[in-house]
Amino acid sequence: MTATDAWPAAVAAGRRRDYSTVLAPDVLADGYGVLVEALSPGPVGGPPRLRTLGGGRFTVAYVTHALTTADLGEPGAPRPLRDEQSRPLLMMCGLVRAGTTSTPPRESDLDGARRVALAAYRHFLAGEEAFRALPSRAVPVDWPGGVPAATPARDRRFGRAGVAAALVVLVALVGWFFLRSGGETAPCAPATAVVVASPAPATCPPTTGKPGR
Amino acid sequence: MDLIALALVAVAVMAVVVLVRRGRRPSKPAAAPPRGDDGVPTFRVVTLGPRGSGKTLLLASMYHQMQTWGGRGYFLAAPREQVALLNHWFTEVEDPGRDWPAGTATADTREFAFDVRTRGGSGGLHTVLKLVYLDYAGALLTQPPEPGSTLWKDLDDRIEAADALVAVIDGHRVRQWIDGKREGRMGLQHALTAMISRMLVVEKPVTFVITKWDLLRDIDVDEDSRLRTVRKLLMSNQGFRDLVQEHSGRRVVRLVPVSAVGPAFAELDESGAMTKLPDGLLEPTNVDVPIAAVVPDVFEQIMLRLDQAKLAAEFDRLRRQTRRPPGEAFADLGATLIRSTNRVIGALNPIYSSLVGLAAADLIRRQEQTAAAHEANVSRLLDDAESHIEEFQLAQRKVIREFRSRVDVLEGRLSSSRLGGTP
Repeated sequence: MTATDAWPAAVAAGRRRDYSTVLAPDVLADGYGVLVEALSPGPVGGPPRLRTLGGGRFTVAYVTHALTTADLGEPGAPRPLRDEQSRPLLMMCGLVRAGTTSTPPRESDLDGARRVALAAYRHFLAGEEAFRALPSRAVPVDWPGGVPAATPARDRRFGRAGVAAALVVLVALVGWFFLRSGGETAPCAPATAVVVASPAPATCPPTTGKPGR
Repeated sequence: MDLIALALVAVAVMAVVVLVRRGRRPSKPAAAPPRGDDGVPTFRVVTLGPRGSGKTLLLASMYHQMQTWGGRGYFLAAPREQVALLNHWFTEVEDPGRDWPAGTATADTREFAFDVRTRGGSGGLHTVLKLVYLDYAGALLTQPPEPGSTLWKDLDDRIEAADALVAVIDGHRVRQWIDGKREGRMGLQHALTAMISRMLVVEKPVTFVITKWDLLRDIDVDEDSRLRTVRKLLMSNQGFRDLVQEHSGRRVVRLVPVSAVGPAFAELDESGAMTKLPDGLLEPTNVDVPIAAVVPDVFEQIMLRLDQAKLAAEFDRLRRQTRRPPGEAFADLGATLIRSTNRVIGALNPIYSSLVGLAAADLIRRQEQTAAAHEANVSRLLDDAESHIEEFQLAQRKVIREFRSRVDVLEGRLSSSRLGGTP
């Protein structure tokens, strides 16, 4: 058992409106457009597909569902729902979780997400033109994986610059020490002193004062 | 000791400089789409059209028809995975026992790259042109963007970078409008507004394609009359009228009726749904014209923008330079024409120069067909050129002439198909 939190999500086409986000995680309220740009229909009834979102911050696992009259609760034998051009309507629905994984969630969890998605789809179909994606809340699911996203390149760049800056400071301090003292070792500063207040040789034990920001 | 310290400081400073510069170096730009790579000019086509207007089906049907010679002097080739996808879509349509394909999802926005291939005089196959065709979900054109999405902006960028635009008008909506149904008029007006607002700001050749032409087969007695009826209907839209009237002197605008399935394959049932006939016959109509029109229209638009006196002078210069290798002379002419129109057709790669020169010569010849003396001169010049220009250029020219001829045949048959940019 690998319990984690995941959010139901769905993208579907309407009778008049094109593929739109129908249900999106509440944590993506300001950027749920990534779903409609990432979820591409697969074979109906096929295995779950996995896509990463937001540069690896999230993973979505979804299946493709051909919508029928039964999904709307209409009586009788299920008939395919169609758009104004007589084309079958599809819905991609599944779960979104934080981090990346190559393992899909359990089928029962995906079934649960589909039920939530279908409820949202009925709202969508009732008022397509003015519809905005409904927010979904996280639910506990059994879904292994969830490696945190890799550090973005921008952060790595700043990290590299930081290391370089530290190196310069270190070398400058060493150079300054040799230039200033002519090779004599100054007495060590007290352990509680702040470095900038009392310059100490590099060979002294580290101080315990909190580094300033 | 001092020297060691100074050296250490210098090394450290250099290390910082190197690290920071490496960090600031711009990341490798996204792979730029091919443009004139390996000496073959690439023409980019963006098809604008609302949801369900038939963009993808037109693409699949067009490729199905043009992937073999089919009586033409050229055919289209595409990467294997794209061929598989296009043929899959076409098979879904073709099979009367299967449903219509579902709409294109926003995530399925993709470019198709076609090589236009022909056989040269020695029997070898040449790729003489490349056509890049964008397929996308109609939502990107007509629906407001969702928060955080980027493809809307991407579509605008691609329209800006295109060499020619194909605007798809849903024949089903036209049919509904003619039948007095409100959804037809509203749907068409909405789509035209969305398309034309983008087309007005970029001056590219435009081919308006009326899809599902088979649904309009009974609105008038013959095909040209039917097209006139639809044209009149479209001209009642302010934006469409503006585009045709205001821009007709500066850009090529066409109206081409097409059917990806033909007149005997599907029909509207009592509920207004499109149903495949059990023994329907698939006979696509005019699906090759929008693609065939791209290259001649790009050249023709260059010609429309030229100072005609300057063009005549350039052409006279070419006539006097019969001692120069003709390939070089045409390339020179083409380069001059591109420079002349650079502010308008700024995206044209210099690699096009030879091609533009050849196309200019062809157009000049067409314009001068009534003047027998000039005709003789031009023909002799072109004949001389043909005997010297390398096989590749001849093959290229042959294809451009065939493209031109395909468009001419349509214009000859349907006079209403030319809306603007009359040569």
